Amino acid sequence: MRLPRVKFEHRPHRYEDGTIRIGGEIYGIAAEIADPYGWAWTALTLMDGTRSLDEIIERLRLAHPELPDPESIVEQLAATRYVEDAAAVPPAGLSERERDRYSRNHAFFRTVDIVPRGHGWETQLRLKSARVVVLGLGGTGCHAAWALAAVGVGTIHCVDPDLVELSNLNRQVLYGEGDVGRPKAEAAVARLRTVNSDISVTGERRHIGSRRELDELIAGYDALALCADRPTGHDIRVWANRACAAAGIPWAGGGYNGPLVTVGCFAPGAGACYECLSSGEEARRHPGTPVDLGGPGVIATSAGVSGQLVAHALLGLLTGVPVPPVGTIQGVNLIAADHHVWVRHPPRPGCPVCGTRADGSEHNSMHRMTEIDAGRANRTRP
Amino acid sequence: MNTNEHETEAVDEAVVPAKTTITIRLLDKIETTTSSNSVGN
Ligand SMILES: [Zn+2]
Repeated sequence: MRLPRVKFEHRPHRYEDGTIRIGGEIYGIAAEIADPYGWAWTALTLMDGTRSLDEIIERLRLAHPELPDPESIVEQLAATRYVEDAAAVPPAGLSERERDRYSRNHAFFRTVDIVPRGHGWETQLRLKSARVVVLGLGGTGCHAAWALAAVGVGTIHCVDPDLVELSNLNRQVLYGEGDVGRPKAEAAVARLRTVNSDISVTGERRHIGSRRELDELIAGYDALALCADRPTGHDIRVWANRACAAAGIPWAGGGYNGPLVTVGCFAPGAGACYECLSSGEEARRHPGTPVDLGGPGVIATSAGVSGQLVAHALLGLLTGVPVPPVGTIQGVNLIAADHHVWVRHPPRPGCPVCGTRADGSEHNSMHRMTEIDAGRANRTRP
Repeated sequence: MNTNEHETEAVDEAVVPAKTTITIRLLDKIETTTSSNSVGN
């Protein structure tokens, strides 16, 4: 790090007792540093992007002659999520137009990233090289695909067998009245290309009717956004669970039951798979309780939240920023502000998808998740 | 705030630690704001 600078969003505040608050006031980012002698405060104040590490250390030494090793304080602070390198040059892999288009992304990722970076465009670059399939272009899929395109996922493939109907327009954000009767895949691709012409968007009108067809569909892609509810919610999710595990790619799937909106976030080799979570939930239910799959009721807001949660989970799965809640289903209840869903169950022993083999080894290699896991390990103490 | 648990290791004359460390403690949910002060558009 050449010219350390405390990130704008994380600028520190000092309380009367010397304690430093850094990272604002949001849970998951904000932290405190006990600093009775003012060492960290002085160091942070010096980190304004105009001085090298050596200069900061020297000034800290002058300001606090009693501190035996100012380099230690400076190095620790420079290694946190709160500091960036003011000297880092934007990468060649993004054009000026892209840096302008994604400038708010850049600031967002800078805020939530738990890993110190150079120029801060690393997350955007990973998105640019990512290839995602969006399966299902209804209420959830429209919003998910729109968000992925807007954020800048480099390659998006949209799949749905249906035609646009008038009753879709209450929530399916990619279609207009002129699209009624047109294949959803075709209309969605056309619309997404107007949202972002710097990415590649393709689509096909296709029904996925078997696990094998899903295997074919996701071959060569980095992640799946599962936004289809046919064949019956459970079947397609089980296929996604197994197909993505076999392909070694992460997936997120979302949906709604009236006002209850949920999203599952899964990655091979990391945490429980979908089937383990759903069997855990089954075991928790009163025996004989029918599974409520809800009715057709959905509005723009519930569909929007659903699709946005799927897209948000995928961003984390693709980049590690923010760290995704792998192996869990989370959700919100739009009619009960105090109801936050967070489904967690351990992998079932012997689960062929995520469990542990008899020899103790895991089923799937986890090459894609290495960095994400490293990020998670850092989470409690950045 | 809970500053007592996580004090900066002071340099002791008798036992000089190998390295001066600081503790950066992520705040708990309960310590961060729950008020809505969103900005931006
Ligand atoms: Zn499993």
